[in-house]
Amino acid sequence: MPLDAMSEVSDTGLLVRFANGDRLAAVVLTQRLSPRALGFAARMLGDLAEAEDVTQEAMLRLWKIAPEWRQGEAEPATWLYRVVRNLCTDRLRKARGVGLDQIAEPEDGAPSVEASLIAQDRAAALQMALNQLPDRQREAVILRHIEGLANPEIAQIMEISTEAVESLTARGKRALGLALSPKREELGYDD
Amino acid sequence: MTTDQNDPLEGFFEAARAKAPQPSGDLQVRILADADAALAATVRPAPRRTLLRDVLQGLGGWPAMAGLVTATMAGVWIGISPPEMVETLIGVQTVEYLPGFDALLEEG
Repeated sequence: MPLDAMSEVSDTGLLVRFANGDRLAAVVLTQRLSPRALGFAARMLGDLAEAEDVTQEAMLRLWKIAPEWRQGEAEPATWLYRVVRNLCTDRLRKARGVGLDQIAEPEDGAPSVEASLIAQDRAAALQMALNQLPDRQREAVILRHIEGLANPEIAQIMEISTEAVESLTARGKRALGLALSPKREELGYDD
Repeated sequence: MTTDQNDPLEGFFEAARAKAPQPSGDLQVRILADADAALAATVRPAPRRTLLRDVLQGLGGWPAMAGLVTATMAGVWIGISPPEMVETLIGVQTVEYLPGFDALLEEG
């Protein structure tokens, strides 16, 4: 099948084709899924080189599971986000040397973003504020507002209820709002 | 995706979406090399054709071969040490293959 025709094939269809030895399917899947995995990992980790390693590892796991892929179970993209999430969580835990549950929630109104902000760039400011969120809030906010996923899909990725996703997103956005509000005028926003 | 323009954070999210990192050529090469390796590991080469494999297939594979071996062994065993019932059935107690052999030995 030519490359153009592959664009019509679903991710699951491509994965099945890959498992049957179609290398071109791997090329299309890489083009489709690796930017999403990389974007999520980069925002979770705040480090592009580490995010690239995570993306490669997650894609490798996708290639390996392809022969056993059960159609109708989960979307490959959802599955991949979940793997990226787990890999990022492992790396963050190792980097901090503490368990996820032991990480304290930041107090409202902490001035750390304003104090440490160097780049006068909205995306950079957001990334700095995201870095200070607890992991689960950060995951939910990134998946919802940057990756553009729906809450039920985020719930599948994070293996929690849709209500829990809504709660995490709301708390995350509240913390981001507090962290970024002092910089809104500076970055060209009018309240 | 749907965005809420009244959301005070939307401008930040929009900027982040616009600055989304893209996989480098090197990363894509690494990912596809992994795909090739995974594919090579899952696609097993076809078994080599040999005379023994052909004969086995002709007989019906290993299960049929096992049955054949069992039947042969049973035949050999009955031949060497026939059970009493078999001897009764065929009505022969002793079989003389060389009837004059004993007399020949006695004569020297």
